[in-house]
Amino acid sequence: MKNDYQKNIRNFCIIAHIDHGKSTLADRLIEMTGTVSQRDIKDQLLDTMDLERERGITIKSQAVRMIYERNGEEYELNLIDTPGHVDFTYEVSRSLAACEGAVLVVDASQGIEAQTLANVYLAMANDLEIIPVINKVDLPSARPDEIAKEIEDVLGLDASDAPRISAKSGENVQQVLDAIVDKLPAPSGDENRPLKALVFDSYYDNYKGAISYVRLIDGRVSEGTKIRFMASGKVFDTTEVGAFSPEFVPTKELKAGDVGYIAASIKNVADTRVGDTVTNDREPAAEALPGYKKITPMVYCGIYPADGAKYDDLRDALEKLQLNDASLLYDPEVSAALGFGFRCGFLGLLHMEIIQERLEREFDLDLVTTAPSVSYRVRMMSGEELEIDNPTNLPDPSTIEYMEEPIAKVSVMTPDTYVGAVMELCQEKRGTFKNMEYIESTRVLLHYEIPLNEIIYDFFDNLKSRTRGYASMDYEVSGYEKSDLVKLDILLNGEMCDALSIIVHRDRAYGRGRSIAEKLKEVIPRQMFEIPIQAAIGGKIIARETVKALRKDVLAKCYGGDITRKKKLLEKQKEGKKRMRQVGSVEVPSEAFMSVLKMDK
Amino acid sequence: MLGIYLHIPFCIKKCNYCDFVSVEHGELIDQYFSAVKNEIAATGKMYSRKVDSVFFGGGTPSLPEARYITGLLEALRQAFDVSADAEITLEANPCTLDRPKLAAYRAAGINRLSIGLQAAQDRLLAMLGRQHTKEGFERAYGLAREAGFENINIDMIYALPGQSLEDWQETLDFVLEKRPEHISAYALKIEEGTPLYREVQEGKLHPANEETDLAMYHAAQEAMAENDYTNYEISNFAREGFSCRHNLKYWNVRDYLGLGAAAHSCIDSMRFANTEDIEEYIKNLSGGVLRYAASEFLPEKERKLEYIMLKLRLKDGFTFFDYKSRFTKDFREEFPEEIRRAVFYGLVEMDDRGMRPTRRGFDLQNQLVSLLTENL
Repeated sequence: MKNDYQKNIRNFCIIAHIDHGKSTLADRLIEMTGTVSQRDIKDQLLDTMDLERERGITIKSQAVRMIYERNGEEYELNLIDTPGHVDFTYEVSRSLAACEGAVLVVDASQGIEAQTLANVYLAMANDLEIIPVINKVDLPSARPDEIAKEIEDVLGLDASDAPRISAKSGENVQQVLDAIVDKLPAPSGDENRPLKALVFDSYYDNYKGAISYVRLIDGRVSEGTKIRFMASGKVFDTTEVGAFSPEFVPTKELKAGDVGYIAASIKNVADTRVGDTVTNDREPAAEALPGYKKITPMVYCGIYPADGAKYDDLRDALEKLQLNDASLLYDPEVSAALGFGFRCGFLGLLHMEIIQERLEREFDLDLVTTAPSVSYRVRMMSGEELEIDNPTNLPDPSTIEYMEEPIAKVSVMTPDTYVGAVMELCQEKRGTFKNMEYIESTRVLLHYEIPLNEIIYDFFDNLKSRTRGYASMDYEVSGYEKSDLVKLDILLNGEMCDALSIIVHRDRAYGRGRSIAEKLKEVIPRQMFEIPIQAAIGGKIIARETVKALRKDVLAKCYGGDITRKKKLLEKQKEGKKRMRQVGSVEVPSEAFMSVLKMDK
Repeated sequence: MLGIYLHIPFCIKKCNYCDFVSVEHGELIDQYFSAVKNEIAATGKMYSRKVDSVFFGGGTPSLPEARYITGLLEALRQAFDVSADAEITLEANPCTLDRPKLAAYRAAGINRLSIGLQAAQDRLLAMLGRQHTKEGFERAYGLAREAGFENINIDMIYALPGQSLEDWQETLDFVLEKRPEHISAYALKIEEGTPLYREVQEGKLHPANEETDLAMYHAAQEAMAENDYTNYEISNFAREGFSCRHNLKYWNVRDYLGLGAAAHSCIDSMRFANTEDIEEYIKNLSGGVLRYAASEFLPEKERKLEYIMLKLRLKDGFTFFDYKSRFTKDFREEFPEEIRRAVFYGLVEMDDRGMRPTRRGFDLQNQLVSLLTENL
């Protein structure tokens, strides 16, 4: 039974592949509904982080309430902006669950991409009404008719009256607003039943604490409501509720069907996890909303301050980032080569890069990061089970019965001319072919199962270069499988460097060992002695390179007593040295620890 | 004691590898020299110390008519207490020297000439953009000896693009046969912004590799030693009693005063320099105004860095006594770990009195200095 107030509410999100124009469309919608005054308008309004604007991606979910008039009635449109990357699939799924509908943006020249598909399937799984929109129709390469057909054939959606727009120029964007009102269902739900609100994101505010972004399914909440998070069991007193405009605007209460925020002096974002259900502590709902998952990191790496004295600064910075990002995990660890630092867990590679970049930019830290690793399951002879996310901690192989590694379901969308290249790459990466579908006459969707540790190595770079950028991919970790894994160690001048160890499949060890040794030879500067670089498995050397000794190194003459230049050179060298790590007797530049990951060729 | 450097920033044509301050047009010469005279007059009052070395560098100090140089020297003697046995050096380009000029220099008291040969192969000279030939050098050198110069330095550069070890050996033989009192042999450094740098960038020239550079350096050291030249500084060689007094002031971290555009000074731990802009320099000094473009009082840390960096260019290094008298600390107690490593890597030798670079320490001087000053 729909309540009267609900019939004029529409909750929706926009799904699109990177660069297909999601943020631009959002900007236009906000602008055309007059939500943000003209003078406050800047590009990618909802992408508040510099990093988001620069990279053209959305990292954090945002929401905005827009008022739109149609046929003499006012409608409240709540747009929930979702992250657009595979690393954040779970977050996307929770944002979708908070909506009744989705606007699917497809680029009129590019067509459907792997991620579009993944997100559309997610939306369908959440029973969302989908409005397809064909964007960038003003580009000369646009082929809207073909794309409309593709949407119908591949996704089974009716695209006959899909708005054909240019989000950039604003052309036909009004049709999108009209379609949202006309086609998307209003929320249902009963304001008189016990409170049930879905947390789709959170934000840490210095004064208000962790603020939960919620969609109310049933019930109501207002200042003073004692709320309980059903997964964590934590209870708080509501201090404020409100809507997004897009800044926080306090309101009297939120009712079933509303999208808004709840502030309750929550100290820790971990207490308001994405996907959790908020209920009324005095009159709790019988059961929580489905779909909550405690997110577990998929990718791990060591992060160390380049300057050992900055350890505390790094810890403080991680603490601050975690305030807004409960999916970031970190634990102190010590490396013989790198000193004191942290083992950090991330949702995926992009998440890792973002965190590293934010640490360096927003906190002005110089970092040394190690190559990423996945989490392995180790079954010991003793029957004990271990989870190993740092290769250094792998026990002696003779004590291990077997090991398991995470496997990902990978889908790659590619023009059919590159099918051979993509298949070759997937084979190289120990992939198992599952099946292949034709999306349209010249585009193919390939399904593979590939070990996650191969994906985090250089899969994406390789895929892009082998398909000239035409292929797109999506992946999801599906489980663990037994695997013949070994620890590959790197010795510099005969001494093992723990920070360079990796876990790798036995068949790949020789190749990886060789390429790491070659890479290190390039990045380690020549020093006063010859430096052998060796790759070894359990004491057996499988690859060797040598950095030749430096034999002549004299600064130029100082002419007419001008020694300032020479001094500057020395200072520069000293700066460079600060970025070096002493591994035994060898000085290793910080970037060496990551460079082992970079693509061959 | 004070050393005085005078910068003469004029050249017929700037060499392809040169990035010192110098211009090719001579119309400013007159104004420039009167500006330097003004600077001499202005600074003369400030320093009562005896001057025991004067060095005309450039640019090409031998380019302007001799009267300009002798005029400066005269002004210098009036304003400063230049000692009777002061070493007075003038840098000369072979194609600018003639009998009357050399005679005028002698008469004015210039007692040391530094002549740039650089290489003894005309094709290499052309590549470097030098304005003279090997033959032109021979002529100039002969004239200088005839004029009575008994203390001559010959400048050479090695590790040139396209220079073979044989070329270099030939240059060494040619120079040693002349028996100059002093020889400088520098490895070419290809400086950004020079024509040579561009040609290397464009792939037209190929810089010498490190092996060749080292082989040439060692060949020079051997040839010099055989002919009784002492390698008293990394790139400088002298017969008994002919080390360059002026340049030793830099390496010994003694005071020197620089006059003229772009000239640098170091007096009582103050470092300062004139503007590199010749016209600005003329403008300042035409009104007798001393205006230093850069000046800094060196904190102890930097003075230590400079001390180590400069002293270890010398064969004799430094004594712990000298270090302590400057910095009131014992070097050995201050840098025990750094010293241990420098010795371990065979870069220095030590005894109770002091520390000096080994031959390897000369080869790897930059490494030696960075190592010792790492934690400074």
